[in-house]
Amino acid sequence: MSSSEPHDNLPPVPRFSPGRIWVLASSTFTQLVRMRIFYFLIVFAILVAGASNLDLLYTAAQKLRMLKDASFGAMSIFSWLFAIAATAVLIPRDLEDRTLYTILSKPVPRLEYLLGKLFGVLLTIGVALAVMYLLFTAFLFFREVTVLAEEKHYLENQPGLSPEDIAAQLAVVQAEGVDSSQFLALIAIFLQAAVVASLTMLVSTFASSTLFTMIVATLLFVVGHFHKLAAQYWQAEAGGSTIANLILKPIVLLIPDFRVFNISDKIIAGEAIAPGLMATMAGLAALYVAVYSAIALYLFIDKEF
Amino acid sequence: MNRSRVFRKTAVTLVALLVFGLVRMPVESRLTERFVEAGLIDELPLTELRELAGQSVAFAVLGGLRPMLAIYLTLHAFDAWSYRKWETVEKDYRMITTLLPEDIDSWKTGAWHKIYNASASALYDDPSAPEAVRQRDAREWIDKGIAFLEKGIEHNPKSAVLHHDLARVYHDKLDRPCLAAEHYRLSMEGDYPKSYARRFYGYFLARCPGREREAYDYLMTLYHQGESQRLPTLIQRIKELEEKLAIPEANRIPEKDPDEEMRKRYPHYDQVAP
Repeated sequence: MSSSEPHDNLPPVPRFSPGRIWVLASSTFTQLVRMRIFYFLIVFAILVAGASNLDLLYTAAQKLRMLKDASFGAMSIFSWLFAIAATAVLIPRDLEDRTLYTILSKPVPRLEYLLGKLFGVLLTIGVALAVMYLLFTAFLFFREVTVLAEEKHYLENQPGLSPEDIAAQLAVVQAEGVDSSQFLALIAIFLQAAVVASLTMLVSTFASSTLFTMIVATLLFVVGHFHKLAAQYWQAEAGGSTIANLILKPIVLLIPDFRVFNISDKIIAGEAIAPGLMATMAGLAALYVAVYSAIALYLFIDKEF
Repeated sequence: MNRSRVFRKTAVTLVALLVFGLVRMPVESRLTERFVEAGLIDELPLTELRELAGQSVAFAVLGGLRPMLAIYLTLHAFDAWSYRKWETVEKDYRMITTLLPEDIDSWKTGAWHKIYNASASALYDDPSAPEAVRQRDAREWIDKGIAFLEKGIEHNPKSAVLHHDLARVYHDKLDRPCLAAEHYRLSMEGDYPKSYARRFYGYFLARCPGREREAYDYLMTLYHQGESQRLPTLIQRIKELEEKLAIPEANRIPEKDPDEEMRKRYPHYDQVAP
């Protein structure tokens, strides 16, 4: 009996395994939870509770609007900031803990390692956003009930208002209340965070330090909201000169356009989004994640540690 | 990693990102257009780069938290106003309108501080300063306020309120009746115009050199709409134009010039009349 016989009986190791990616993603999720990132939920709860009791604005509808704006603003900030910070620390942390050597010494392709890390971050963001959304919906629901009761009482005591007038006024308040379309705003925030996370992962594969990754990713995220408009402005200033075009075109092509993902404000303000547009946005986000992951793999595949 | 490998990796990465940019660009442009049509993305006017960047960054970083920051800045500006710190008020309103460019009240209030409060402060707060300097400083604040309102209009072109305020500044502070008339006309075309803007357009058109005939025809149209339009100022402007345009006696309106009556009652009326 040869010494290699026991190995021959083992099932072949698959080249690509969603199961392995899931293991890596779930361990990344656990790793991030241990970093106590969910403490942010306490801050969020305080913010939402504060915003729901903010009586600086006058109308009932404005009170609900303020709660929605503050809640989705906090969700948005949390998601992009967390996407950058969490993704930026993952590879350096694995290096520091020497977990990276343990994982890569096993038959785990580097693609699976990167995807596992990325999906772990996205899973964490998804869970955090879902919890925040539930908290927000509960606060908004109770606030809507209270505000509507107050408004109804006030309107019924006003002389000269017909039941139709009162119903119309209450409908204006209800329009700012709990609405299923708000879930689409949450998805838009998540898609933006997914693109930010994949971009940060790409930067972290060639970055020299975590700080560098965070700064570059934040700059790209911020500039990505106005670089196309700035390029249009400069092109107009330069009178459409060829040199200006040669300089500006590559910048526009290299930096991702985050403006197309920044629509949650308008959705919660009541603007309707067609399912086709939402699907196109999701497809675009998936394309960003796929391409950035592929380039990150190209840079990471033969990186020496 | 040797240099040639670094160079190769960098070059391939850049090319891949550029190709990806070329692929996604048409999709993103179409998506942006459709989002703008659906009201999901605001079309920012390309006024100045600093403003453009500021607004985009505020949208990107703060998102829905912008109104809360704007409320804080409004309170801060109120505090600065009570201490007559006009530069602080100006800075605060610049930031408020950067955060909430669609908030008409902020454009209106920011301009009002500059045109009426800061300019009056420049004119009267320091009597020891030479008159010419005070006049110049006051005029600078008025010009800043006008520029602020114009920027507000660029962001909210359908705002009747902002055109109305601008028109008032032109006749109230600068004696520019033609510009006042033009902005009253624009305010009539905006959302929720004031009902008296129609008459005010005619009143200031009547004082715009070279447009007297046009103003006369317009005011006569209002006059023929009935008693509700025949207010003293309308009658008075028509009377002025009848004289200027030498309208035949038979075609003149039968009402007496309200100013004549006032002159009889109050001898100093001409010194205080608008």
